[in-house]
Amino acid sequence: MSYQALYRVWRPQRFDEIVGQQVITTTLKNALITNQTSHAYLFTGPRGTGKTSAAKIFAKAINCHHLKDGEPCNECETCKAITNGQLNDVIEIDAASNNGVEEIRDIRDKAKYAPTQADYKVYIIDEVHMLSTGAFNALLKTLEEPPANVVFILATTEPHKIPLTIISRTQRFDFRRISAADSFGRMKMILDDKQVEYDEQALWVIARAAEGGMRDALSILDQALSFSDNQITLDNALLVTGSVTKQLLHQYLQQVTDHDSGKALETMQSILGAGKDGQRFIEDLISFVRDLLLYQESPDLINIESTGLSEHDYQSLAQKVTGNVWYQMIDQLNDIQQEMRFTTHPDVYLEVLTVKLAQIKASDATQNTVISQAGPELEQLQNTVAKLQQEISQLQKQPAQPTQANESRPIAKKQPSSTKTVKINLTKVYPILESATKEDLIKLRDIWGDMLNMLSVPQRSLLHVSKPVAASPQGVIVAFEYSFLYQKAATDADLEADMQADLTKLIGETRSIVYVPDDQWPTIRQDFIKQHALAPTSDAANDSDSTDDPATSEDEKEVTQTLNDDKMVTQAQELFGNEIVEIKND
Amino acid sequence: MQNMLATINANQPQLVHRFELAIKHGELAHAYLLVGPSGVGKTRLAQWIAMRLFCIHVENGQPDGTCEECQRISKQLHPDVLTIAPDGRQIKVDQVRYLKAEFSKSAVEGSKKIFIIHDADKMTVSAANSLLKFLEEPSGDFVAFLLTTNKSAILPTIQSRTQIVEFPPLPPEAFMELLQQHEVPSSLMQLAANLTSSIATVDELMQDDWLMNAKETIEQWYQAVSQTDMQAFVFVQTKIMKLATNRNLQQVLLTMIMLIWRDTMFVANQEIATDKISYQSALTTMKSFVQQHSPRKVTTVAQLTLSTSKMLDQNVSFQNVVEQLTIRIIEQLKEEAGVVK
Repeated sequence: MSYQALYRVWRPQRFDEIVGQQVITTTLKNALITNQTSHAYLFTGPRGTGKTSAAKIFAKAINCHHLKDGEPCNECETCKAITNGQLNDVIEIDAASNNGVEEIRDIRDKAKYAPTQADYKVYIIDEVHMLSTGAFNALLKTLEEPPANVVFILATTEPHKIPLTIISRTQRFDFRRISAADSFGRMKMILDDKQVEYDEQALWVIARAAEGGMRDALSILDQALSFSDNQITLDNALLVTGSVTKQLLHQYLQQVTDHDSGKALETMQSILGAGKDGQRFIEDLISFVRDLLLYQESPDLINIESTGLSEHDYQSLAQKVTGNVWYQMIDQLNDIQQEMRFTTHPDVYLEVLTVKLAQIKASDATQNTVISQAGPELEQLQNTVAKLQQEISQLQKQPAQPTQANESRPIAKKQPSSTKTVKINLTKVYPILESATKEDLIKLRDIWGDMLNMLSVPQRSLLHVSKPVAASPQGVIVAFEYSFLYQKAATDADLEADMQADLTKLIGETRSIVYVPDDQWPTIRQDFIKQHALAPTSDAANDSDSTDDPATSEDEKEVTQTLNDDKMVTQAQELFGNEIVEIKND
Repeated sequence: MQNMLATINANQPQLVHRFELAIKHGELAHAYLLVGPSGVGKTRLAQWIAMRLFCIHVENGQPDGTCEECQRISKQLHPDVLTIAPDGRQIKVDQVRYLKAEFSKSAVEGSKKIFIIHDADKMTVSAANSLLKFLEEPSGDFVAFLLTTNKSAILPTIQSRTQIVEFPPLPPEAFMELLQQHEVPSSLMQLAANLTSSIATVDELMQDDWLMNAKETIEQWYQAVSQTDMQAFVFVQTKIMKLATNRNLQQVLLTMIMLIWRDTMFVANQEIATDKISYQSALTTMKSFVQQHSPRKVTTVAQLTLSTSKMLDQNVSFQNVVEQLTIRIIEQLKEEAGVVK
């Protein structure tokens, strides 16, 4: 006789040997005792939770004449025959291989005949989710009202693939995952029985790696057993499960939370290099992070001794990082875990993961004052800011030129409202303002439309929302309502040349053109006024020296008013910040 | 033949020892799932075990490799050692049925039968499911080896019925040496080692300088993409498609793309250890790229490349996959530039 796997040797033969499913086994036992068994059952649950075992035990119990408290005796002829799979009346069908309508018709036809030896004919249909739709439907009527003394037991790991019409005709039992403590107990019992020495911590590792499947646990145990002579050590258990020691995990997390991605990558590579499983590594990480979260809540929640780490290790990590970061890590881990299923290059996934985990703080650093030392990223940010400042000051010094615009312009644009330093080429604006006159402005406004018509269509569309706001005999200031258009115009040398040419044609004089964004125009003017220490009135007078104009006084008033308005606006802006204040011209 | 035995002993001494013990104690289970990247010796280990079980002259727990039985196993002629591999892209349910039919019969010559399923992750759903009952309570005396590169693609119900054996990757130095013996140019060695750990595959890739051309092409593509130049999109059609003549090569190309971004990620993290970077020649491009973009963005892009091979598996055409990737990366990079504005 060849070697039999532990899970086959130790297949439960009585209801109370099924671990971790007390609710189900008690229900079944009571049904048997009170003779209230149904004609169809559906057992669902993850792998290795005892579905097939329960089905077989039930088949025995319902046919056994020496029932004790709902348990089969396992001694009578029928029981033994069923255990060996020799009884004709207990039929185990592999639905995955016999999934056609033909096979189900066969069952249906044969179910009509009375059982030959036992009291009940029991059909155990395993992996029932693989039946075809036709097969399921062919089964419906039989399942609803089977002949007397026929019991169907359907077992599956994937209940969502079973049609609702089948489920509603059966009594459904959901088998739960087996807790680590339960599988630990069962393994302990088996090893005691086999008289094998073991390390309890090793059993815990196996129990956790099994993830709720008793068969998984026993398969791993089997492997660990064949690894060494009659002895289960922690090292073997770690080797067989591909688990990573908590020490290594701790080291890895330390490096990740230090944002030392280089070191963390090394650690991870050495873990993979030792033949550890990437999936398992992620699972271990998740459970470790979970432990840490619990520890942060209350140190009593986890059993530190069973993990093989010291209290100090937990404390150092738990204090270093806030719960928020742990949550983010778990999210990232989960995502990668999902994606990793379909890859043959888990190492690359893990590398990306490591780098991402190491970056997590960056977003958090702002709110998290705990991290005060400058990481490489922070440094980089500082460098960038310094660079930006430099560029801004450069820009202030020199007038805007099309060449410099591309990189510096976008960066500069972000600051303008918050800082008073406007890098609009003031050197060009001020001279124009100094000699600005009302007539010039009116003159320009009059011909503005004509000039626009002379430009090409794209140029015209660019200037559509712009208007001249001040003019002197030498130049004109054009304000743009949207700053991105302003940028565009400012970088367009052709446009400037064309406009100048057109203006020359229209008014017979050459004028330089300067652009400003509309929202900054009031500030610029205000600054100009302040700098030149001009009283609003004198400024206004300056603005319109031609006194013969009847509208002058009114104009003057208007100008003073606007200037006063501007004052108020700037004051308001100082008080509330630029973003909030909205200027409306009523 | 002897060569094969020597290789497996040299490459996976631990595992060989483990099975030696298991066979000695009569504790060989009925089903094993052998997991590891290609080229680490999964097939060889399965064959070694078959030889160990059938060999007439076992010495010190090792088969001699010269007897009739061993010869037949190595040439895959032994009637009691059955091998199935994907028929086309998948292992179909009929192949599994055939296998099951074979194993309901008793062994032709000895007492044991062995079956080896290559690429077990390529089994169709129904094929995998119809193996379940068969694996759980096998009728005869047999040992099953399921070989896979990707454990998580195997049904959990199958996993729990087998003993899972993880293969550690080969020590990189040994493989490098092997590459040298096969006259792989030094500029390609690291890339080749990252692509596969099977020397046979490398030899295949080296034919007609394919790998060299592919490397250059990918580097050019990378250059274009990293400058958010939409020419990269056209490049896919004009250059990359010419290289992707069959499905295997397509997969390799995707991996190469993945690797170049992985390199970039390393560079972004100031890790320029020479034994990791596959594309030494593109290092300057990477460095300048990294200066323009935040490490976070680099990581995001690297992650984008990861999903590509999955799409190829789902029958999206190769050209679509690469073109989509190109557009996505460029969008990502532009988006960042937009944020800075």
